[in-house]
Amino acid sequence: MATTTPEIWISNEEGKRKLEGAELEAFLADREATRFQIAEREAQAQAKADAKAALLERLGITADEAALLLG
Amino acid sequence: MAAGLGYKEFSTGDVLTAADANGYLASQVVMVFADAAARTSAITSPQEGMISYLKDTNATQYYSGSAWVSVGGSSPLTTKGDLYTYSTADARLGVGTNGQVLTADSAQATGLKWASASAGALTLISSTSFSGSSAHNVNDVFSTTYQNYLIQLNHDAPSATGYQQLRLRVSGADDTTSNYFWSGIYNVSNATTPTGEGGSAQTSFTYGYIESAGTASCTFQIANPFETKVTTYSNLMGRTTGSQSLIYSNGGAFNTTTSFTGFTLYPASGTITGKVRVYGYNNA
Repeated sequence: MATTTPEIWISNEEGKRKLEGAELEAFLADREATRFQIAEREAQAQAKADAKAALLERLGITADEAALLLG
Repeated sequence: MAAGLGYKEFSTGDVLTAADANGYLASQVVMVFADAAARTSAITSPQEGMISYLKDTNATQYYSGSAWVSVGGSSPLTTKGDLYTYSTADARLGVGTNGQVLTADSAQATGLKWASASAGALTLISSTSFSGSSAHNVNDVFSTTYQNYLIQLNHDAPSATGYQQLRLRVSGADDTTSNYFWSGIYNVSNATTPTGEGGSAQTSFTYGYIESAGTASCTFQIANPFETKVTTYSNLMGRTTGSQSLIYSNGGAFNTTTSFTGFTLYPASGTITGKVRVYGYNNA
């Protein structure tokens, strides 16, 4: 299946311009890196939440009860 | 009307002629002269309280006891925008330049002067709109003039749901190094417990998350962006998706002492539409 390169428009105080060539490739790579960072961040947060839930289950207490213990 | 003959005191038994009535009595109510010279010639001993009219200048004057003075005074105003003021006499104060305000100043003869308005606490540096942009660059807004800045951002609905990013910028190029550290909390509608999130050694700050059906407003406080110090920021975003509201409160730092001149707003996906205004906090 053919892929379509997205149109990327950058704006500033003078208006908008379309990115092309190497500038476009650099932008797309950078945005992909941003998405990767976000996905990685979300995965870490999810892993932390899963580990916490698993621990609470093993201990047989709720999150509120755990907070009381730590308080 | 006949020219006035001047001032005359009549004695008991004097016969009052028509010429006397015309030249003295009528004229002594308001004496009419061709000019001041004619008056001086006709009235060699003016009396305090006399009133005369000079045809050449259309001036009505009274004698003060020492001089002829125009009744009501003559206007000193000559030019558009002139103000009628007073020093030891009526005086004209010419209009100031555009944007100036009238200021009391006891050192001035009239006690007034036009002066530049003092700057407020905030000065608008830049206001730009963007529509369907994959990234919006705001250039040359940070400088030595201000140490700290306020950024107000109005987001219309973006083309795609996702995180919104801010990146610092210098000399027309984004700084994409992994020096962005941030953390924040957000709360959805009536949830009782907010959720935390954050990122270390990132290549941008995340300042919020907007759904494609939502709009948002966001305020940033940015400290030291131009100085060779660590740039820190905090932001507060409120948004709606139609059925839910959400608040984001984030903060962080660019963890090296780089001097920046601007910033870029960009979404992780799609395009953004809105308006951004940058203000400088006066240093005083």
